[in-house]
Amino acid sequence: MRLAFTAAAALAVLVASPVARALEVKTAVSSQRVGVGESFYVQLVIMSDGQNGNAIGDVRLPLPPGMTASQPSRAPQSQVSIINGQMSQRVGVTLTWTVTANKLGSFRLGPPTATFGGERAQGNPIPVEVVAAGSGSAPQRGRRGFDPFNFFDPFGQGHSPFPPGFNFRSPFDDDAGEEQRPEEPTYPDELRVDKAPDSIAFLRATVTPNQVVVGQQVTLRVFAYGGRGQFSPESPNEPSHADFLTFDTGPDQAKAYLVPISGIRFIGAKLRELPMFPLHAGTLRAGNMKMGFAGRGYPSPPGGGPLLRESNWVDVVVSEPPLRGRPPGYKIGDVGEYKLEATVEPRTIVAGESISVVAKLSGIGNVPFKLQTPESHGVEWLEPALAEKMEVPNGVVQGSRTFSYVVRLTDPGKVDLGELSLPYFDPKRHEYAVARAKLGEIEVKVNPNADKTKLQPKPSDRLAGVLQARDALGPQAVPLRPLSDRTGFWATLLLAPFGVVFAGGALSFAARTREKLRERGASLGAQLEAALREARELAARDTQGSVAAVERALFLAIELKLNLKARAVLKSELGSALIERGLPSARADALSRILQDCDALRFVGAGSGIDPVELSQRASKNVAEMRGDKLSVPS
Amino acid sequence: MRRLLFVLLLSLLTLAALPALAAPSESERDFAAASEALKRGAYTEAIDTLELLADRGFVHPDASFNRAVAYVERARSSAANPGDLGRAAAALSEVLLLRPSDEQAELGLSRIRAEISRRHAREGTAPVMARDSLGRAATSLFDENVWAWLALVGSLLLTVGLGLRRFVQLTSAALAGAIGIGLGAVLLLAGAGLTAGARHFRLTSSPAVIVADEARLLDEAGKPLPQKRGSADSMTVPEGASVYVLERRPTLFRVAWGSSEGWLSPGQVRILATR
Repeated sequence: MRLAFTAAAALAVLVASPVARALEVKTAVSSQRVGVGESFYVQLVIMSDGQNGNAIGDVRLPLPPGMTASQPSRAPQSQVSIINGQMSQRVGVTLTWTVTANKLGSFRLGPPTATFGGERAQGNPIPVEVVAAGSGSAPQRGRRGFDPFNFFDPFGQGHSPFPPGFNFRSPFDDDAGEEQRPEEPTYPDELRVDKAPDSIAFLRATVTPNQVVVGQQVTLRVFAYGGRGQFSPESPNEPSHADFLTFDTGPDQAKAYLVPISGIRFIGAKLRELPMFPLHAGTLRAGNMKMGFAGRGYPSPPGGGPLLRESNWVDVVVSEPPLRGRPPGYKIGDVGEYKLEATVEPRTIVAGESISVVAKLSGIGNVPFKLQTPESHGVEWLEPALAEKMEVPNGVVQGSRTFSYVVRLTDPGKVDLGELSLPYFDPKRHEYAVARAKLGEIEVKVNPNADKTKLQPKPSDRLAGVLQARDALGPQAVPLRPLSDRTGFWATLLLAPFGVVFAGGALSFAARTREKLRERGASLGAQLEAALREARELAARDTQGSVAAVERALFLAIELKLNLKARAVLKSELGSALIERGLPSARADALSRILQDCDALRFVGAGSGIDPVELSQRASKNVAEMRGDKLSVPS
Repeated sequence: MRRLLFVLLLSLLTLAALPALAAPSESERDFAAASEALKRGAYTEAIDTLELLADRGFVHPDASFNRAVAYVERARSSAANPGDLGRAAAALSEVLLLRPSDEQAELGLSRIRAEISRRHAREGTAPVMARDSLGRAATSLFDENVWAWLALVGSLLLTVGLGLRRFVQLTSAALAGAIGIGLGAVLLLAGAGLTAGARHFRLTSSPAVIVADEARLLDEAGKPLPQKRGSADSMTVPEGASVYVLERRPTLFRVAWGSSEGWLSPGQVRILATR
């Protein structure tokens, strides 16, 4: 009760004084009923556009006898606002006196006056009643919620127009030593940024919430931050939101705050707050608002014009509501919290006449445009007329849509209309619900002119009776998995013929290899190698065999080199024959000597002094060297 | 005594399980509810129920058939919605995909398409017919498995022919082998090619039907495509026409209509359910 009285009393003096054109002056008092010896506070707030400076002087508070006042404290004020895209700044001062009442009675203080920027500002006179000590109503220290000196928010609603960075705390809320505390930032939390992406100016877009279902409201907010003092927004465009249905929230009115970010004092303001409804599922993008910052501290780009900045994109992950529990007739996008009411009149008609059904669907969300109407034979619902009342209080889209139906009833009798309904998804409860409105019964009397009003079938209805509904689910064939999806189909297809080709090829290759090997075994070279190997092996144990092998090796080597069958030549003439064929004479002599040694060893044996091992080695050496000899005459 | 208790327990369990075995599934109940709604003329209710069944993944030719019935009946009523006949055509096309021998569905589909054409003609817009591309037309002559079996037979003939030619020295075997090789190679190439083509179309596109009154083909940016041969008019796909969806994006589907390709809004196209 006391609080109400105090509030009323304080409000009574919250009257702006029409002092000067550019000055805004307000007067306030903490209490108009005080006890003897108690103190109360008087405050004079002066605001101006700052064009004449902010010098303060000639501060006065005329007091009646029996009252004393302290020297006034001075608290500078500054206010930045962006209204319809135009930024304005106001400066001012708050003067606060502590007045002590020492005498009973009713008094009249003031009016308080001061000069600000060379102009005289005068407040209103303040009536105060001083009562016996203990029955007064001096303000409680530390009380929250009511602050008569906060002129735009006397009841502590938190709507002060002043930038919190400039606002000093109300003296009625401060303890004696509280002035020593550091000033706390009081800008809205949505303006908080941990790190500035640009030290001069930047735009920032946010969206909440960022995971929704199709048709659920999200709110896009775009904030502007200027780090070089006062700015005016130039040519701001609309943020992109192609995949969303948006609601116009009225004219833009931005309130600016001082926001310290990374040691820089930015002027921050919310430019846009758009309630949006996603139109389909997916990761949808919005944002990318562009705006120019114009002001003394904001450099123009090389091409001229204001300093352009654009906001970030924001992503919203949108899904469809779950299939589980989905009621029949649910339309994707019908999301919110709704109730449905309906009125029906008249309740008694003649067959062929119509009734009126007015249904009001109201609730939170983008109220759907269509209701489910009950259907039955003899009842015809025409398209409804629609009226709507949508609002966005506190950024939440809500309202109502009214559907006015005309319903024609053709069959006489008591007709149960059934109910209107709207299935919707409630994102708060994460479940489906159905808003329903029962319509009740209509008594339809027999129409004496029934033949005239009876609906005639359309003469050109070519689809009548084409399809007859089936009463039960019949058997259905088990789908065959395509052969081409089976592992091994393509391999089987190609491997069989190619397998035959490969097998044939492999057999041919094997046969050819075998033949080659056979041919290779019968060749002169192979025979020569075999003879030399045999000569070496037999030299130690079978002199005759070794000699025969050496002779064979030599004849084969001559045939290979000179294409000469040397066995048919007398050994005595062999040397000259070899020379004639182009073999170097030294080589011919060496070969003849080996053959002679072979004869000597064969017929004389060990007594000939020829070592069979040495003979076979000599034969091998000469055969090898002869392969490299150049022939003087082509063989 | 124990044996008697066991028998009693078993009997009780069997009795308890019987109703569960006999109870219809949720899908069967919904189908029955939709049929009931159809009988009392609540076509929208029947459509909602059958559409919800389809959304839940229930695929059955008779459910699709009744959905077509509901759309046709609504199209005939005063509560007709644009695109009802297209949706009926889509439902019947679905029936024919699931049960190709359904004569009633085939007849109904042809009547519905004729009715759509008649309505377009009455409004002065001649329906534009589009034939499938040659490749798609060839592969769709028979089922994919028919082509696969043809390829397998060709492979077998080719294998036998090659074997005879390679491993049997008789003149008659060589002659038979040559015939086998020739015939088998042709069958293998044709069968494998058509199988591969049918598989490619099956994996890269989905059959669909236009369910909008008129669907203008768009380019990737969403602008209407110009008519071929330099005509200024845009290309419009008629309601009920069969198309193939080649690519799906949240706001646009890329479709092939005859030999033309373009983009359509997802709401204009109904993709047919297959198993």
